[in-house]
Amino acid sequence: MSTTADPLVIDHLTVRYGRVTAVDDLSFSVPRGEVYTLLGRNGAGKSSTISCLVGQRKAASGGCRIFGIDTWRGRRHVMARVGLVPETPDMPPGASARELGRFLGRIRPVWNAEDYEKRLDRVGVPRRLPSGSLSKGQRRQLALAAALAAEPEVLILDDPTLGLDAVVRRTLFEELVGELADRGTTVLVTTHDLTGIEGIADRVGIMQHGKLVYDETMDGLKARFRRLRCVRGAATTTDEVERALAALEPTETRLVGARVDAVIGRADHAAVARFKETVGITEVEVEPLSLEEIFVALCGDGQGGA
Amino acid sequence: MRAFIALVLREINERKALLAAAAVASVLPLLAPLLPSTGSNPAADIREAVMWVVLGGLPPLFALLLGVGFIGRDLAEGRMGFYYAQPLSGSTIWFGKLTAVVVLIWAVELIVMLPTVLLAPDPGRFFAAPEVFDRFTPNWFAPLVFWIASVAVVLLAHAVGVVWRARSAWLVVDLFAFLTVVGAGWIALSPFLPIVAPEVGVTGLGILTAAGLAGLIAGGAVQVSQGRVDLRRCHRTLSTTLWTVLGACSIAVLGWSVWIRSGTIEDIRSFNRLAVGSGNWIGVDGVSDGRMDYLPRFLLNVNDGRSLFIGPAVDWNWNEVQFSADGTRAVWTEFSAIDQWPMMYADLGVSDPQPAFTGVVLGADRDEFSVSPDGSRIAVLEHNTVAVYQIDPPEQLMAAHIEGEFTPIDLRFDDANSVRVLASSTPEGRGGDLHWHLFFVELETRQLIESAEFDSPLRWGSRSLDGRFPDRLARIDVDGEEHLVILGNGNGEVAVDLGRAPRWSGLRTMADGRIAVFQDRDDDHCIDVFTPDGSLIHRIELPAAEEIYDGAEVGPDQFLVGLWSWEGEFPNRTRHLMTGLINLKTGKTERTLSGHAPVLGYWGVWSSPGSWEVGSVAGRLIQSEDRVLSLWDPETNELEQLIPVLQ
Repeated sequence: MSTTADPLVIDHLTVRYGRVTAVDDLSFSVPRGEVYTLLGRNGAGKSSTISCLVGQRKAASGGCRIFGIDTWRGRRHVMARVGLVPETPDMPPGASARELGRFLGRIRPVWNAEDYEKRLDRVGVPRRLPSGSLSKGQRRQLALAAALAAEPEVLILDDPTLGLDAVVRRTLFEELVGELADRGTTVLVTTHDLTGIEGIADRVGIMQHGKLVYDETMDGLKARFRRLRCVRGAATTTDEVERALAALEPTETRLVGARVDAVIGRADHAAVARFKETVGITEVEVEPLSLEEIFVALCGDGQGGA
Repeated sequence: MRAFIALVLREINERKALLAAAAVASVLPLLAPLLPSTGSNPAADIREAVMWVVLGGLPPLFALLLGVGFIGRDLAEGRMGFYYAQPLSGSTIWFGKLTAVVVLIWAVELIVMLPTVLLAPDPGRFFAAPEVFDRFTPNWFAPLVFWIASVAVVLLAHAVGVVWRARSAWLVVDLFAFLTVVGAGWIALSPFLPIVAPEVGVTGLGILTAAGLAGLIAGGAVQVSQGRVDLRRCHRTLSTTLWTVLGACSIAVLGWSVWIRSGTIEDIRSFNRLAVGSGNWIGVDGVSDGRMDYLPRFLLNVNDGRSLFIGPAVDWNWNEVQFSADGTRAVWTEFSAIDQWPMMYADLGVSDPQPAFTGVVLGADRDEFSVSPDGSRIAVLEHNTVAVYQIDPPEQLMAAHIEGEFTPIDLRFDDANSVRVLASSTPEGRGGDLHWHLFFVELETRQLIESAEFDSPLRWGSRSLDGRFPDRLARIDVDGEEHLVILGNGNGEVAVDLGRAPRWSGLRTMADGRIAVFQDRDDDHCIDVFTPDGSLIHRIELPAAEEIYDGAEVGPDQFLVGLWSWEGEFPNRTRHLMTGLINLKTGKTERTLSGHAPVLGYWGVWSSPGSWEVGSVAGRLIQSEDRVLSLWDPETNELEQLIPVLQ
């Protein structure tokens, strides 16, 4: 899947904290101009992955490359072309948006001051207040404005909508879509806002317990996973239903009385047709799922994994 | 550089509140003179005093706060990621932040000083005039010291802050490494401190301190570059770098210390002090290349060149090597701790003399010690107690306390069973004149007996006990005019009256009992030779010189004198030494040796019984102006160089 031309490559990355393995032999890559969203429940290893990816934490084994440069060894060179919005905005608390812009303008190789100012205007971030005095949402907007003003070739967003209200969340992703369309930036984003990211992500990776359990295009994922509803006849046992469902690779199955509700991982016409022919199964319906529904089905308790 | 400067400015801006605090603190010296309790002291002095107090307190306090927080706090609160997300190298981040802190402290100092300096009657003296620590230390030195100390506090607080926040198992490594470095430092430098070679010790401490600071700076840089946001990794990299630098430096200092202490007699470039006795062995210490004030000390056989290292000399520890009168044994003290001076000895009659412990350890405030003529015993005067020990096997033979308000001054064995002690007291109602007492310690009866007391004032070093003539105690009576008499050692009564000696500078009793008195008469000098009962035989005029001192009796009627004079004008004048060989019979100066002077009788030369014997090796030892030690043969006028040892 990965090619040497891919600007962002994670190669057999393992991250440990003492005896705890946070990321376990993770590998994936993001082609140029693609938006890759990395999903996972809390503690799945997303932020540890990001931390290694931007050269802030050393991997126990494996590594990350951006533009072919090892991000641990060549962090300074890599970060000249990368924008990062961290999970928690970490700019100096005493620095105002204006001071921050001045500082970043001096140290970044590219700095679009006009874009920075316009974005701050648009989202209403005060210029003179120290960043420590801004609201959580304003700080996040400030971080995003700073990351985008550097016109990065790769943008890494670690849960950028965390703590933002619904309106701001929607605005943020909409603006992001506009920016990305203009620039062709490669984006890696981790988020819990699956509805917001669904419209802009090209590819989805799902992490569980430090491992990448799914890595597919958004369309592929949505085509593969469907909701199946049906009714079983009085003579049909639950075992018979489950045996028939097994061919559809269910990730979540609920049997309530005669009604069967399942999320299946194999929804091609032939497989579904064969299921419909099962004796005692009637009223079979197959429906598409949202990204959030797929994620819940895959990462819910005791379910998922591939 | 652009990024570095931007970061420095950003960090200073972030902490500009400190400058405001300094500005507020700078007003305190101005307000101090308004306090009612300041009395009539000049306002400028009060302002200055308060300014130094503020300067001594505020920057170190800020340094502590900044040191703990400038990296560690950002790290603990997850804000270091901001810097790593920028195209800044780790060293730019570390040195940029550190530079900002250092500049801030410097600025705080300037702000605190500024109002007081501007209002001072003579502002210029704050930067040039000597006042603060002592009259030789310029005022700018104090802020410099505060600043350097503050930077050290910053680095130390940073390291402690990171270690504390990480709380990783590396703390055990830190503790072990700290104890190892302290232990290595102690092993390396304690042989020099505090009194053996303070210059070496302080230099070593300075090197270790500088290495510690360098280690903290390098450790911080490596921590920021390689630890990044991982607090435990930060701790590990900081510790590894710090202890590597300090460990390497400790090993180097340890090696340096071993090298300094491994000097041989061949390394001595010029001798410092000598101890001489009746035999061929002398005690000598001296300066050697690269060893600063560490003075290796040896016993040296001047006949065959054998030598024995007997520990370093301690500058103020006078008369530290003594020889028995028969020349078979040397006894000396070594420094082991402030109040611990083990007494060592060596048998000189064997082919390979080795140091051995006498079993006696002296305290720092002991007064004197003496070796018995046969070398079998030592007597020690400590406080008011005389103790006598047998050396081999070690055993204390007796100890006697001299009761009363006495100050023991000198002691000497008359023979192996008798020790004589000279003491003084100042009885009330005698106008402050010293009162003198002679005691005998009889080992056979184990008794301390006072044999004589007399109240004439003794002056000018004539109070010492003359080893060769135990019945005589020279004194000079300055009751109106200088009146020279020789007292009996046993009873303190006048044994010989030599009449008036207005410019008396020294007295020597010759082997045949004649008495030579050295007269110092401005530019010309003379020796008055008396019969043993005090009749003047003749006066011998000496070559012109500014100073004269009595040397040694090198042969029948042959006497060496030391003469020295100044050549040139102050401050470029140089001292000129000369040895004169005087024939006491003819009164002629038979020979002079320019550029050299006899060591006996010279400052820094300590003589044991027998050294003054006619023809003794000690009497023929000659020193040059640059402290080269040679053995002079008066017959042939040849010099055999001893120190430095010819390779």
